Amino acid sequence: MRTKQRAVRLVGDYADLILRLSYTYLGSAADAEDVCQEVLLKLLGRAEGFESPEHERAWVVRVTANRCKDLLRRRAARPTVALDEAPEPSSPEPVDARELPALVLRAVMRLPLEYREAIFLRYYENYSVRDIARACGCSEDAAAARLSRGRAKLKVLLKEAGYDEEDL
Amino acid sequence: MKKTFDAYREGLDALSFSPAEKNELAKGLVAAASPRRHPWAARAAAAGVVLALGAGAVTAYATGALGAAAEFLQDVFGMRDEQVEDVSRMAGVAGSSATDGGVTVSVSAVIGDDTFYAVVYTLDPEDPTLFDGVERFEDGKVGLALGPEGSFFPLVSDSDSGGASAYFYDADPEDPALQLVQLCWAQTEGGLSGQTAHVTLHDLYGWGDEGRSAEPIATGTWELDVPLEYEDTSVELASGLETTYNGCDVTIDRLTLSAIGVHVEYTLSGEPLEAGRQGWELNLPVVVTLEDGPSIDATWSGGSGETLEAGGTAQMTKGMGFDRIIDVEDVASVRVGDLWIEPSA
Repeated sequence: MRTKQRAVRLVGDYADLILRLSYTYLGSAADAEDVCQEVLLKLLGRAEGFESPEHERAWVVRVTANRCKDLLRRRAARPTVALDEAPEPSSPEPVDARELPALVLRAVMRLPLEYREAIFLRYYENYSVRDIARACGCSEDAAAARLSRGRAKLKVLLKEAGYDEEDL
Repeated sequence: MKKTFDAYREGLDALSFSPAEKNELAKGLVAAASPRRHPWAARAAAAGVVLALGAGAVTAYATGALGAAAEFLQDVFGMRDEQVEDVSRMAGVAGSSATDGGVTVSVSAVIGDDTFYAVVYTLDPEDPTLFDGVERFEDGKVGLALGPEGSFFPLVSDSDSGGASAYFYDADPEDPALQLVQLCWAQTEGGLSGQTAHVTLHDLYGWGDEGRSAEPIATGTWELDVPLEYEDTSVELASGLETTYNGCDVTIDRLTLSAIGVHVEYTLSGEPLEAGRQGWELNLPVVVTLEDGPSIDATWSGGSGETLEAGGTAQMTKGMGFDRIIDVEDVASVRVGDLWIEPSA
């Protein structure tokens, strides 16, 4: 019973987060679902507690990121078309507001991995630059640079897709 | 900028599991976690295990400590008396010890195969009263927990994935030491047997209804080598056999059985009948039936693999550590899907 209750709680708290973070890395919802199951199983099997909910959440983010990077390393040996090399539709149409979330997400997913990782942590998980640096294993300067370059490249990609936010 | 990232968050929020999918996911997690975790842990805790190994484990073979390891394993896995000699031979008893924070942690016993392994550590305090205040539970466990840092359970360097459940217990109330048991699994390219795993344990806390205590009982870092130098009793039962499952063709790439676990690697192909059911690829029936009647059902055990797209293929692997030590020769059959494979055939 206790295991079931814990599983339900963990799924409720983290399944969507792991899915979104894994998708950010892998670009595949199916692969992201697999990672979700693996990470949650690992969390469920963990005998030790966490110091706080924030500590638990940070553990989930770190373990998910590491698992995705493992998968990407293995995938590197396979001949696939990277997202940023995939052809995009030409002749951008004016963007309908209802399409904007999907358009921005697609554009973020075309950024290099380091940039979209930083953007996810900053703009979805609300991490500070220091926390991003810690999560990504880089210096704070490097983390800030990844954010800055990511935003700049995102602006270009969105403009190509027909969207230009004034304050971007 | 704000509008763009609001849209980004909205786009990501659209990626989510439905309530029904979350329900299925939770059920799948319970099913995957339970068979591997509870039988081992419950039996060991209830049995009031006996283990009298300490830091002198390197000389274990000469001093007869292997017998003590077998005695411990007998309590953990509930083996029959006639199996003790075999298990004494199979078990590895050697490893490093590390002292920090007034506690010496030693690797006291290891048993396993290429995927599953159980490790027992002894925690011996310099201050014999150190663990006096630790909570003792009716099931034989004691309320102790590791700190949040460290690697938690031993892994070899090329592990693709792995996991563990763990508990502390008191093997001998007459001495001040406590024991930590970790029941682990890991997948590696070449298998675990013969490799050396490494573990870093960090700090010891009390554990009770409120979770981990605010202050550690002992502060320290214990880095240990865990030689997985047990006798691997694995036998390969099948390779290349074909069956069907959920409307798909199944090719058993490798089916192995050992004294403590069953492991199967298989390839699915075709168009599944229930493509939308999450994780169905892992629920291929796998049942080990012993000569004297009882069965060990590994159908809902954990595993990993790919999602099968219609018309494609998916490489899968699944397995289960047993709640007992078996003699492979006592296995009547292993069912995989609709195939019954007899080890002696």
